[in-house]
Amino acid sequence: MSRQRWRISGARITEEEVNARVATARADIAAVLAEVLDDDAGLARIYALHGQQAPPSISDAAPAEDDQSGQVQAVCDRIAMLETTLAQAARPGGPSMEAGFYLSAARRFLFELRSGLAGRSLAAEDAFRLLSTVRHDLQEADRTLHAEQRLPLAEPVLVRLGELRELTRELTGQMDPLTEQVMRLFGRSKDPAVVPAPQH
Amino acid sequence: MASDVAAAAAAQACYPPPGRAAEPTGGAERPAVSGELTVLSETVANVEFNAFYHAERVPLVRFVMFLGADPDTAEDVAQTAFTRAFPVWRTIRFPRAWLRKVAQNEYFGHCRAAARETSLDAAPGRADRAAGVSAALALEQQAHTRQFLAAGIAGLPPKQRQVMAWTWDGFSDAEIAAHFGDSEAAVRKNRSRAMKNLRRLLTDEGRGAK
Repeated sequence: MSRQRWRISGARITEEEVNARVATARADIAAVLAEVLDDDAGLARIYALHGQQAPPSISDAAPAEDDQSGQVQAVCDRIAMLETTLAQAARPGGPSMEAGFYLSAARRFLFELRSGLAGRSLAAEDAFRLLSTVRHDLQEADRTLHAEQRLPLAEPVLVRLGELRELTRELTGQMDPLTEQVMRLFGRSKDPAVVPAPQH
Repeated sequence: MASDVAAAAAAQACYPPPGRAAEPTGGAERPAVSGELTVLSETVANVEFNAFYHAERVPLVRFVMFLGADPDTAEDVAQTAFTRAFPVWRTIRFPRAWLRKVAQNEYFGHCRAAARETSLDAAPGRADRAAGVSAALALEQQAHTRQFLAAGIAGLPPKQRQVMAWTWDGFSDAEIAAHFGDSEAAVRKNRSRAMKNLRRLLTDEGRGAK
């Protein structure tokens, strides 16, 4: 019935118009859902179902004056977590002095990155340089550990080297998502900038 | 629209977070770093999961709505998919696709269960369902969107709805074909038919509204 009516009456809407309707609907739905869905409550339900306590929400953990501060805080929290792990991995008396040197350096640069982001005093180029340096140090630590694993060392030392290397690679793997998060802060992702460029 | 799709594809390229560690190896007496690694891995996994949940919950609910679900059902289905993802999060290689596949199966399972009372095509978007969440109420205020869902999406056969929902979320023909177990040609054919149907359905809806 409707098909017949369409044939008789002629022009249908174009594909571009359909795409425009889709884009409008997607935007409308996203806006409404973002307003009404409570992510923290949703996460809490998931954690509770698996017998865990939900992590405190960003807004609970660090009351931010606005959403931008919340995003910066989230990135800083992530960096702080990596710093803590690096501090444990690079503590004195570890199996590899050279790897420890690189891991300590990576931690220092992460600290510098976190301080700069938290203080809004870091230019995008400096942030990416620090990220690149941390990644380089982690890769160097991994390379060093890999070389030392081939030395004729006692079994417990080799095991420790292997595990330290695994930890280093895990940390290296965190650099891509961290870089993406930092890019987003500076508006070099699809999202708008959060951290304005410092005035020099 | 094109930039939307490109952005979605770019976002997908960011996942999975690389460097997910294999199971640690070692002797019976595990050095301290093992515990550190485990704690780090769990913490990182939770941080990633939380960030992913915040970023992807709305798109996933919307995806399920574009499969034909009403907002209440879409929210439930999306939440179920995330709940299933949580314990296996570190093993999921492509979370966006994984969540959508689980949500899609969950939704059509829900439709099959409801088929005792109503047909698959009658279930989505039916007007008699009591709106249990404010999302449904709020969405009703978006007249154009409501019409698009009721007149356009609900009028498509399920397979065409699926193809369009995946396409609008930025997945390529090859990715959709892989997830459906179809050929790329079949995906293209379904998309072409869906677009033709949408043009007809929305034209009819426009005339009916006049």
